[in-house]
Amino acid sequence: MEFAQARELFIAEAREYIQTMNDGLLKLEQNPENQTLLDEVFRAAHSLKGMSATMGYESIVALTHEMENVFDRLRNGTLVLNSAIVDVMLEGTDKLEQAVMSLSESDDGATGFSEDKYGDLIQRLRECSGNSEVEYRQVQPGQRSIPSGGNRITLDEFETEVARQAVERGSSIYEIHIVLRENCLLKSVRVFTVFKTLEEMGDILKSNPPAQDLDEEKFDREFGVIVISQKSGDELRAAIEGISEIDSVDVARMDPANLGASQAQARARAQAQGSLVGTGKPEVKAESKPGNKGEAGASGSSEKIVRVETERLDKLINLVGELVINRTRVVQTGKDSGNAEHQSAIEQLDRLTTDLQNAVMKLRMVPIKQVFDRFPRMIRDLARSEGKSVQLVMNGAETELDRSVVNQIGDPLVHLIRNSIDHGIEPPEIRRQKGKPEMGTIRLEARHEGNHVVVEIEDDGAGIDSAKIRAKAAEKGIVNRDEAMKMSDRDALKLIFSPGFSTAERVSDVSGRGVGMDVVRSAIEGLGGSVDVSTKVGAGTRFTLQLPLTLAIIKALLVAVGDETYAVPVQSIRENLRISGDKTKTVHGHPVITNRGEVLPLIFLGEVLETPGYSRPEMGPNRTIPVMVVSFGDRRGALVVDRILGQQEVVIKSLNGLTWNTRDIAGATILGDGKVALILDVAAMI
Amino acid sequence: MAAISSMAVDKEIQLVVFTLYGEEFGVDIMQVKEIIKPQNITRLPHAPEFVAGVINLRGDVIPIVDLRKRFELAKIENTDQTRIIIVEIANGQVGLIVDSVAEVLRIQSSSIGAAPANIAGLKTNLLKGIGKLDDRLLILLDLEELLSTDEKLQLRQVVVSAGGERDEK
Repeated sequence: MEFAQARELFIAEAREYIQTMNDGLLKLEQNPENQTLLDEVFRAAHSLKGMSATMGYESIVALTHEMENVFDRLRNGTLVLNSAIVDVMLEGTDKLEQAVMSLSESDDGATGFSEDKYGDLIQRLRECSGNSEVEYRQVQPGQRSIPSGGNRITLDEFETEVARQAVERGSSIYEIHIVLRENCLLKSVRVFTVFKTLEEMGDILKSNPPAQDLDEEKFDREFGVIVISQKSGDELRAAIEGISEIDSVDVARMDPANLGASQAQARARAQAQGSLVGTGKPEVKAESKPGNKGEAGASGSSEKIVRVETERLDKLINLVGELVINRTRVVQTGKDSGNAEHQSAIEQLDRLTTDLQNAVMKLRMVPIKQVFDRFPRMIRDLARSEGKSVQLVMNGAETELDRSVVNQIGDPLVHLIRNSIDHGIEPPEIRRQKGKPEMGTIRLEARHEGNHVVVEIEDDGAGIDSAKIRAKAAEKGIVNRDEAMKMSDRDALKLIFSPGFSTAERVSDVSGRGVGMDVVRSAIEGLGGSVDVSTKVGAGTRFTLQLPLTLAIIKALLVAVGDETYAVPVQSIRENLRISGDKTKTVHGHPVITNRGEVLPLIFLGEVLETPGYSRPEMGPNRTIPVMVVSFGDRRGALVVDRILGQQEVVIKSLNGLTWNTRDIAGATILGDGKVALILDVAAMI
Repeated sequence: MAAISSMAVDKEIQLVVFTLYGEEFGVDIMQVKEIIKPQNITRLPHAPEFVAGVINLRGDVIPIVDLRKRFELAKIENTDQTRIIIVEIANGQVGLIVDSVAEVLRIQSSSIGAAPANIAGLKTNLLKGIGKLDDRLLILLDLEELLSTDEKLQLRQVVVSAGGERDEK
């Protein structure tokens, strides 16, 4: 594998391990005795160390090694987790993350071990684990240390492959080093017994020296075996220790990620060996059951996943988009041909294309988990720095969204959560006074609702006082005092989304600069979504975000304005009406209609779009004109067109190459007849 | 007027030559993606006058600039010579409506001189230079500049000055 490729793979897998450690630590903070978690984080550190050693990333190896020590002590009970330890360990995962990130630029950060960068942290980690370099190699009395660096067994490609497949099926790979008693007679018999025992418990992949030499007693006292087994290392060790004339046995679980030879690997192996020897508890710790996800998924995940470059995916999605457009034409001509067989073939094609389109759209979907993942850590850190106690409850992280939407909601969500912690959740003493639990709760939920994804952020904090909002808004000149007082509560609340608004008494590090909410709203609306807020003073606040499922293909209503055809996203349309002239009124000289109790100004598209030769239709009592009631957030408008042509799915094409004004236009699409139709930006017009 | 030689190395450049208002223009062939016949153009609201609209080029939506309008020349009907040259610039692809595309020819960079300094009111950065081939004068446009500015241009001026040069010879 080329190094660049190997590095990409390393970066991706390292990230997963770091994430596992991060998540694990946070969960363990609440639940320090959880053995499964403890094992999981240890394995992650161990695997990461092995991988990094193979790649030659010294600094990562050094750091992971120390963290692995701490995890090891935690998992075998010789150390109890507390917040201070979590802090240091999280510092570790942060540094690891930085190191991995810098890898995409250059290898320098990771290959050179820098005392100033990591020295201090390593010191603190050592204090946690109570280990010093010397202690680490310490061996329990009664067990002889096994010489390292001597007879390392290396696997060739085929053997490595066999081993990897075995791991995928749920087995583990062990490197077992056996030393026979000094005056052992009939060594070959001992070896044979060992082999027989091991074969009852698994499969022997390789031995060093090879079986032949062992048979002919062409070895001293030591030999090594690589075994694939579903049994635990302790079971294997116990079984071999039971054989007579065995002086010492060392069983080390191998990481499938670093099979195959390398100097660095040998070093890592030596360290791993040492650590297992060091802990040498006679108790057999309940190891994960064979076939368990944890064992099989040494690389962090046992799901069937394929990595594909996003560029290739995008190309595929583009092509399918073209197919969808072309399909419409084909279906059209099929109808006109009158040939029955032709028509049925085309119907078949139509169905297949729809299926293909649906399948491809799913390719763009990723779980919102990627965004949610960074929150537990963020909340913990923020809460601590604000002196507040906050817990996060997350639901629906597996909810899927279009990739581009997921990329863009991260920041708005971060801001809303920060607001919650900063302004929403009260300090513990105040909460206690109010009779609330000292620990505040932030609830994050994502779910599908019809054609949308809904994301809710709710806290049980102080709520938003609309009186305060009104006052501040008036003060900032966003609305005048009268309007502010007359507004409904709902409308007053919406004021927080106005540019330049902030109710923070002091501008904290985190929020309160008055730019946040406005930016959040435009970010979400820019995606074609909407934000809503509801609150109860003293009880809490809930923000509800509504996001479209996908951005690339939308349903649109085609309309004619003069000679031109435009596409209006169906998502923006509330109603289609036909209004006759006598239903319109004039307010301040402008024609309006009343619809469901609301007064809406009529927007003549031909005028807004400067369509050549356009003039307003006559509005007599006997003529009706098509009017579309559209909305964006809570703004509403009534668009007047000449004709409504029909609804259609359209593929959104971007308009690049343009440096000129594209006001009112959101994008372009290609119609069945090959002509370009522009997609209207409804928000800009109302 | 002495030609200011461009660089030390004399390279051969290939130019796509097109005509506008009887004048010959050249575009570096490296910038030209394709040349197509005029097709249906969808108007782009609120765009400058010289932006004719957008077209569908094999699934991509490309903006089209009417060069005649860009230089404030009188509009003429398309003839069967009219072409759209698709060029690649920094922001993406753009199509240019021209009266005709004459040929592709090779010219030495040494034959390209700086644009005359005396083009009234016109920034010379809109022109990359003037190419001389036999007794033809080819006006080389700086497409990036041309398409990124709103500034009004008058082709008449360019022509007059280049023509002035021609007369001078």
